[in-house]
Amino acid sequence: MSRQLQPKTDQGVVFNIQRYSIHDGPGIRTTVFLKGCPLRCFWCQNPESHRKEPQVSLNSDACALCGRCVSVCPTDAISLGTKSSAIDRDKCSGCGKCVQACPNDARSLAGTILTVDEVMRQVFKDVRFYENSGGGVTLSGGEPLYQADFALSILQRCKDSGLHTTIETCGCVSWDVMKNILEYTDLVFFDIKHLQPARHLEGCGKSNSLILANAKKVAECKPIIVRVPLIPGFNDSSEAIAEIAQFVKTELGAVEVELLPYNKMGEVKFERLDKKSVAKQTQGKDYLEGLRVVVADLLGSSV
Amino acid sequence: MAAKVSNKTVSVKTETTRGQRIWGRYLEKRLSPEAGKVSIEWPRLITAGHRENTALPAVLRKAKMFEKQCLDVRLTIEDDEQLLLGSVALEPWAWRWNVNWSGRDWVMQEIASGDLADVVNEEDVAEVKEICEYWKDKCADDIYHAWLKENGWNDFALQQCEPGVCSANLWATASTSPGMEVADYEKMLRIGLKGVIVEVEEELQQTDVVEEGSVRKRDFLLALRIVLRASIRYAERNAEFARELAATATGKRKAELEKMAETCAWVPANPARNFQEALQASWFVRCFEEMDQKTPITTPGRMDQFLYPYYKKDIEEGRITREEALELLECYRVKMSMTRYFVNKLVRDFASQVQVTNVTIGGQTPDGKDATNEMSYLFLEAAMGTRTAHPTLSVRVHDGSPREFLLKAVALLSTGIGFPAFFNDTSMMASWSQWGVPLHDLRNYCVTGCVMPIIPGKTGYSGWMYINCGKAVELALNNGIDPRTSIKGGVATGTFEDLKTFDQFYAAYKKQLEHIIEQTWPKTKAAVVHVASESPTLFDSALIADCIQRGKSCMAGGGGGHYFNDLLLPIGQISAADSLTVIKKLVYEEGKIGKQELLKALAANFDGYDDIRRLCLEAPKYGNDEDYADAMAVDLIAFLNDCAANMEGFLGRKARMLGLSYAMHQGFGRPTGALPNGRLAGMTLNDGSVSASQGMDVEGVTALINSAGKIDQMSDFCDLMNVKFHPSALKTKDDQVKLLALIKTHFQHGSKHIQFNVIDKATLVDAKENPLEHKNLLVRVAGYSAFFTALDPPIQDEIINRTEHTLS
Repeated sequence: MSRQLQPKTDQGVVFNIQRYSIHDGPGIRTTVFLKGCPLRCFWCQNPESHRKEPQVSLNSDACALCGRCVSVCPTDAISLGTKSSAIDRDKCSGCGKCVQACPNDARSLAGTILTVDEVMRQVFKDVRFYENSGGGVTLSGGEPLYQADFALSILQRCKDSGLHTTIETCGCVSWDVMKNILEYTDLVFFDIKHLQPARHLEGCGKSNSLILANAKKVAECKPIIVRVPLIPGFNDSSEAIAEIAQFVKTELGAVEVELLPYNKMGEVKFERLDKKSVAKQTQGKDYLEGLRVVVADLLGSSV
Repeated sequence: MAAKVSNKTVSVKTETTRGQRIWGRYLEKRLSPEAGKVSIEWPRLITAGHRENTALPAVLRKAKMFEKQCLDVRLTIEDDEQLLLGSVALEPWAWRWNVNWSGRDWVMQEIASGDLADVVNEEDVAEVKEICEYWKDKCADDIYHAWLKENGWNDFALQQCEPGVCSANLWATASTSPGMEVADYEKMLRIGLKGVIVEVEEELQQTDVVEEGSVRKRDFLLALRIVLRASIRYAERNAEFARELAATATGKRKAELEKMAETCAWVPANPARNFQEALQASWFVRCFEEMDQKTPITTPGRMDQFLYPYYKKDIEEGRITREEALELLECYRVKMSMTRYFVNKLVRDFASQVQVTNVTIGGQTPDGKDATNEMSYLFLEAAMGTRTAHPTLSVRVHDGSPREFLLKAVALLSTGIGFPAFFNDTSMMASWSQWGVPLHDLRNYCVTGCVMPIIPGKTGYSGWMYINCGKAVELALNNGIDPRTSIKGGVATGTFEDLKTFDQFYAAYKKQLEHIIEQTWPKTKAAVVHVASESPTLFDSALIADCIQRGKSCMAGGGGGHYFNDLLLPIGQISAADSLTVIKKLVYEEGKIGKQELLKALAANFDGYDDIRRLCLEAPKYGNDEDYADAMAVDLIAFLNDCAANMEGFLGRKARMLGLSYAMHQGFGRPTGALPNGRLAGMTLNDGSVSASQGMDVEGVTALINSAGKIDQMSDFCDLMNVKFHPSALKTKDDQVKLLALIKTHFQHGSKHIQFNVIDKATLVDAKENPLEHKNLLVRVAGYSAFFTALDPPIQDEIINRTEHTLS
């Protein structure tokens, strides 16, 4: 944890490496989650991935107020409240010493600085599983291209060993970055959240113009699967979904569209990072089926 | 141990099958007040058979006890739709008590303590007491324990650990249960029991009374003849019974009963002529094995192989449809699920049904071709349709196994039923061939128990010795003294302080293990000898190669030319390896925990030592693809293999290690104190033999499989790998294809076995409450999978609720 984040291409911030990922592309995969994202979607499932730097996450229910974190904190960022310890986010450097000290697992560190070699060591452990299943490596995030050089190095190394590569991107990066990455990418999961620029800006903190332009260019050169996270009240109306499906049909051609039902994953995580989120209702099974029909009617059976 | 079966049924068709209806009605009966009692009729008949024949030598008396049951037992048919005759359960969910084995002492104790109030019928209590009184100093357990006492080994405290003869203390179990062989079903169907009787009589004619050996051989052959004739008579009685029922039945049922009567009048006496006869005869074998007091671990073997020719002929000649064959197999599943073995409360509590039955499908033919046939698929389908726990299925996997077959097996697994288990032909054969077993025999192996490979009609297991590797850690830490009881069960290897380096400590630990083995092994051998002479296995011996010619039961060396084996069964080896890792790293290398501090923390069951326990839990553990911790398990298991190879077998047998935990990881866990790996006193030790300690594999299933792949599995009979999965990770066909790739990769590593528990809601609820025990539970959240306990309570709740419709 003492390592400092340097602007070097051979290291980056990773917040999880998930082995036996079976729902992030073909075959058995290892998914590497890179930290940092240009968007700020209000429903984000991984708010700990927003910032690029390592961050401390605090589960206040598990805090026993023992105060060990206070005594190890080098920047005096921690104070004890009546029910739980608290973090002054401006002072916290994300060094992780309090995480080590906590006896109750109340604290965890989102993000570790790893070198490309360290990432690849994990990736290579499961090569036999990739070979037997037609699997490979998936870069996810955050937005994996937010650490573009790091992501590129990992993908290059994967390709050096002939591994299948997939990225999961929000598409909100410059085309130059995307173009370089695509050279070493076999499959792209591309998120489209809303077609209306104003609504997109409102929900995600950025307009969608770059995203939609990139989507068209990616579709021209790489296999692409469009993913739509269904957010209650934001984009889960049949009109909003039909609009996305129409865009896919006319601008991207015959590509697959996956609708991802909303889940509450992100809500608790927001609290632990001292951020606010808006609690949402989950969609019912029948409602989801209705949306799938909307897309299927427009695109044929590729949902 | 077969995995737990969810009671939830997956409805594949709207219409129920015959098997589903029968099983449904049987499940309902479980709740009735008369269900679940000790069946008094079996011990009554066994006792009468013994009492009436006290003058005869043991082998003939045993045959007469068998005959008594065949001739006098009440005939029943459990259900009006059942198509197979012959019953092991006379009342619904009854416990079957082999009183000539054991029980007379603890039954008396449990009657006195009230523990049996719900299990023994009020009106039977007097008779049960009288039976217990009769068997005092006559049952196999008493005879064996009197012998132990006579040898001055009475410190080896009597404890009933499993059905059969068994002697145990806190650190080891010397035991044997007869019947760990697989009868030659193929031969029985081919020549009928009358054909076997001819073989017996020919041998009898050639055996004159000349000396002790030939007298004993004649006794044995006469006993076999009694048993085989009585078996035929039992089938004929069932034929008569079915005819009586047919007389009053009408319509379709009348025709069914007439067919059943006709079937039982012909088999098993004569060679089977069609599929129904072959299956009925196979079921009868199970009934006969029960009456012969075979172990609850019973195995028909490669049923898809020996039944297929009959099925194929019937189909070709238009005698049966595929659906009718499936219906019969579902009836067989229900029949196989009716037995429960009466054991003491301790075992009843942790092993509810106390039986393991296993059918092997797939694999190779003796000449090396793929053996999968239509019957292999039908066995999978029968289990999908009628979701009974027994028989469990073992799928043999080789390079030529059809992908469709393997995926169908994975689909069955995905329903949450907990089987099939998968076995690796390549690795199994490579290690067995080292011991001189010819290839055509190897290719014919099947699986019994949990993971015990056996060659049908040829090999078996006789003595087995469980050793408690966790207790040995305690002994090494405490100079050979068990800290829980202060009994000096181990050998003095020096105090913890005396052991200056980790190498010294590890050497002390190994000495404790060797001491346990040296103490227990002779008692295991003796148990086999006493059981083989007092209560020889008869029925199966008639169908094990060479037993008739040698005139000896399979356990007594009848099948000795065919590699009968003895077993070293280490329990808690991974808990021990992880404990050694903690001691190595935290005590000797880093000095983070002082020796006295660790001893105090363990003595206090970590109470007041939270920080120490935390350090212990956070230290590297086997199962995470991390060499530091894996290397310890690799080394310890290699050492255990060496120990087994050094155990001198007898009667030409070989002793080897076999990795399985049965329910002994719980049995041995209870008297084992807190261990340095962070496990609390009394908790279970690791299950399986190459799977991680519960919840300690946190890097995912590929990491666990890579860890297991580091262990050299070539020197043992087999290993056991348990993996937990949530149904959501196996929901789609695509998920199932990936699981198959996972299995194949596991086997490429040289591993021999893998099985999966697909976890249901109850487990998830428990996982939420006790997260430490379920740290490795994988669930699918959305577009990805995650560890359940790493999720937050609201999401856990969501997944718990979601599970219901995942499984319904």
